[in-house]
Amino acid sequence: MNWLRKNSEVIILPLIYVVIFLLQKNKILNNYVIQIIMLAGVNIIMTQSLNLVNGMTGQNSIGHAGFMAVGAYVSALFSKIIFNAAAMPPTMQTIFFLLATIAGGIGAAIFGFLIGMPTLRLKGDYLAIVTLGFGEVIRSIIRITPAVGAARGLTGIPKLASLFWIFVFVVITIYICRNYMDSAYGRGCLAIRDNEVAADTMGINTSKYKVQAFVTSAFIAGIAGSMYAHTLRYLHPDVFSYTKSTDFLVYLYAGGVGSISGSILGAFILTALPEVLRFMNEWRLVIYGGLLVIIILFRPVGMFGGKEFAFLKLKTGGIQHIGFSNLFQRKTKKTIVANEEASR
Amino acid sequence: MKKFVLLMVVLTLSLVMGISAVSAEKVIPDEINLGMISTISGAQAIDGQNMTDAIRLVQQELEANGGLDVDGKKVKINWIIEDCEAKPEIAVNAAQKLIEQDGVLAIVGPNNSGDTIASAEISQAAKIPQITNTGTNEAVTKVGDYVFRACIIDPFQGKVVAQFAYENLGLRKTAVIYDNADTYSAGLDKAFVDAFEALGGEIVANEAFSGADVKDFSAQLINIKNANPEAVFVPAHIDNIPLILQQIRGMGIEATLLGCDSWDYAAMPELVGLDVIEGAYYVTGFSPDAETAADFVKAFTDLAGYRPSFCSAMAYEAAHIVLNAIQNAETIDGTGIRDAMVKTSLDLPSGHVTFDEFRNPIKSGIILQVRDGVAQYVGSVSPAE
Repeated sequence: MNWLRKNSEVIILPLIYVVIFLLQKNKILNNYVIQIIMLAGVNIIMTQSLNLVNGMTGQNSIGHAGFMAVGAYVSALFSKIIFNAAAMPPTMQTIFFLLATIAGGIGAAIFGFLIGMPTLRLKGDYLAIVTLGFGEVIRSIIRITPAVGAARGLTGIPKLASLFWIFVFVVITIYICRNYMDSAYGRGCLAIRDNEVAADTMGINTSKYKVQAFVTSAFIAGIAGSMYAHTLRYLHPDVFSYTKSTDFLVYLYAGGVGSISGSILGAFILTALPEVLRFMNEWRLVIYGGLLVIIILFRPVGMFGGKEFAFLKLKTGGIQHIGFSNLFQRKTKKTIVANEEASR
Repeated sequence: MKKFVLLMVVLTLSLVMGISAVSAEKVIPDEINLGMISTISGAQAIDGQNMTDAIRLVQQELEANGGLDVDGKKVKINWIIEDCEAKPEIAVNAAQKLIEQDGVLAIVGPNNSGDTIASAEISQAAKIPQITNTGTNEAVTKVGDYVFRACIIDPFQGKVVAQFAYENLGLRKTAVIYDNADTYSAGLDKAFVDAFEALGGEIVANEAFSGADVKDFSAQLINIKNANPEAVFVPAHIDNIPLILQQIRGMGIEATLLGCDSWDYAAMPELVGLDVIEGAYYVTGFSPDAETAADFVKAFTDLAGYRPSFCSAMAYEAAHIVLNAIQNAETIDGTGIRDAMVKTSLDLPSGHVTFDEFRNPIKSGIILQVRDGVAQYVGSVSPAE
C-alpha cells in the first residue's frame, strides 16, 4: 500500500487511458476528439524530443521537423512498401508497426548522429543553422525521390497507430526523458546548458554529452514521425517544413522549456486550442496568437517553467533563467564569462 | 419481469419501425448540414477567400429560392465552413469535426490535393461524399469511391488539346516537346499523343528533355524543325515555357503553339514576349469569358466585388454538384448522395458535367488564344469518349 502511494503513477497513467477508452466506447468522445488527442500525443512526443536538446542541453535545434520527416518516411516505407503490412493479420500488423516505428527512430538517429557529430563539437549557435538547413535538405530530397511519392506525397500508408499505441509511446517517451534527466548523462547535459565552460572544467566531455542527447532526441523525433505517418496515412514533404519545426518550438517555450511536464502540457493545450477555438471562424488563429503573446508576457518561463508534475519525482530545478525572454541575455552572459576565462 | 418483457417488446417494435421507416421511402429532413474545408488561413488564404465567397453565392441563391427544392419540399441548407491552414492533419481534424459534430452529409474541398487525400480517408470511412474543387493529384479519387473532384485532370487536357488541334484547327502533323522527369509533363505528352493518333493525325516528332534545369533545347528543336510540323505542343512548367517558346521561334519554327493549363498566368505573354506567344492556343478548366459562365461571373462579381478565379468557380460547381445530388438522391444520406453524384449530369459555368468511373469530371476544356498580348476565350471543346 505504501509502495502504491509512492508510485501512484502505476495506477494513474493506465487509469487515464481507461477513462479515455471508456468515454470513446460510450460515444461521449467522438472520433473528432479522439483524433485531436492522438495528434496531441504525437506533438507531445515531438516536444519531449525537442526538450532534450533545447531544454536540457541548452542547444538550439530549430529544424526538428526534419527528423520527424525521416522517421515518418522510413517507417512508412517499412510498413507500406517493403512489407505491405495492410495485408497482414492484426497481430503481425502490430509487430510490424512496432518494427517500423523503431526503424523510423533509428533512421532519424543516424541522421542526428551525422549532423550532431561535427556541429556539436563547436560552441555556440551553429546547431541552429545546421538543423534548419537539414530540415530543408530532407524535404527537397523527398520531393525528388519517386520511391516515396516525390512531390505528390506518399499515400495509402496502413492505419496502424491507434490511441493505445500513441498513449504507450507518450508514456515511454516521458519516462525515457525523465530517467535521462535524472541520470549522470542528463546532469551532465544540464551542466552544459547552465555553463558550458564550467562543465568542461569539471571534466565533462561536453561534445560527447551533447551528441548523446542530440541522437536520443532525433530517435524520439523519428518515433513521433512514425506515429504521425500511421495516424494520418498520408505524407507530403511540405508538411515537414520550417513552419512545422516552429510549431514544436512554440509548444516547448509556451509550455516551459526545460520542464518535462511543461512540454507535455504545452503540446497538449496548444494542439487542442485551435480546435476549441473553431467556433470563432476566421478569428481563430488571431486569438491563438494573442494567447501565446499573453503567456510569454506574463510567464516568460512558460506555463510550467521550472515546475514538474509530482508523479515524475524530479527535483531538477533551477531552470527559471532560460525562459524565452532572456534566452539571448543568457547567451551574452555566457560569452562574457567565456571571454574572461580566455583572457586569463 | 413483466415490466422487463414489456420494455423489450416496445424496444424491439420501435427498432423494427425505425428500420422500416428508413427503408420505406425517401425521408426528407427540414435541414441539411453541408461542410466546406478550405485554406482560410496560411499561405493560400486567397484560395480560402475565393471558396468562401463561392459558398456565400450558393447560399444566397438558396435563400432567394427559400431553400433547396427536394421533391417539392423546401429544405434549409446550412453550410459549415472550416479552416485547414493548408496542413493535412488540420484538414483531417476539420473533416472529423464536420462529420462527427455537425453531421454534414457531404464535404466540398479542400483545395489542395494533400489536404484532400488526408481528409478523404475520414469521409471515405464515414461514407460521406467529398468533392475537392482544385485537387488535381490523380491519387485523390483513388482514396475511395466517396471521393470526387470538380476540376479536369491532366490526361483529360491532353485529349482536349488533341481534339481541338485536329478538328477545330484542322492540323494533321504535330510535334511535342516535353519533360520526361516530370509526371505532369510526361502524362500530358502521352495523353496528347494517344488522342491525336487515335483521331488520325501524325506525331512527326516527340522530343523529351530531362528536368527543369535544362535551359538549352536546341537538340530537340532541330529534330522538330526537320520534321516540319504544323503545330508544336509544349506541356511544360512555367519556369521552362518562356525559354522553350523563345527558342522555338529563334530556330525559325513557324508552327502554331499549343499549351496546357500551366500556361494560364496573366503575366505569361509578357514573360514569353508578346511577338513570340501571339496566336498561341492553350487549354484551361475555366474562363470567366465563356458564355456558359456569364450569369455566374456577374452574380459572383456583384457579391464579392472581384471576378471569380478558377478556384472559386470550381468550389461553386462542386457545391452545385452536391446540391443536385441531394435533389436526385434516393435516400438523403451519405451513400444516397454519393450514388446520385456518380450519375451527375448538370450544366455548370464551365459547361456540361458528368463523371467517369474514377469520379473525375468529364466536361469541356476551355480553349484560350493569346491575342494582342491577352488570353481570350475561343471556345469549349468536349472530347468524344
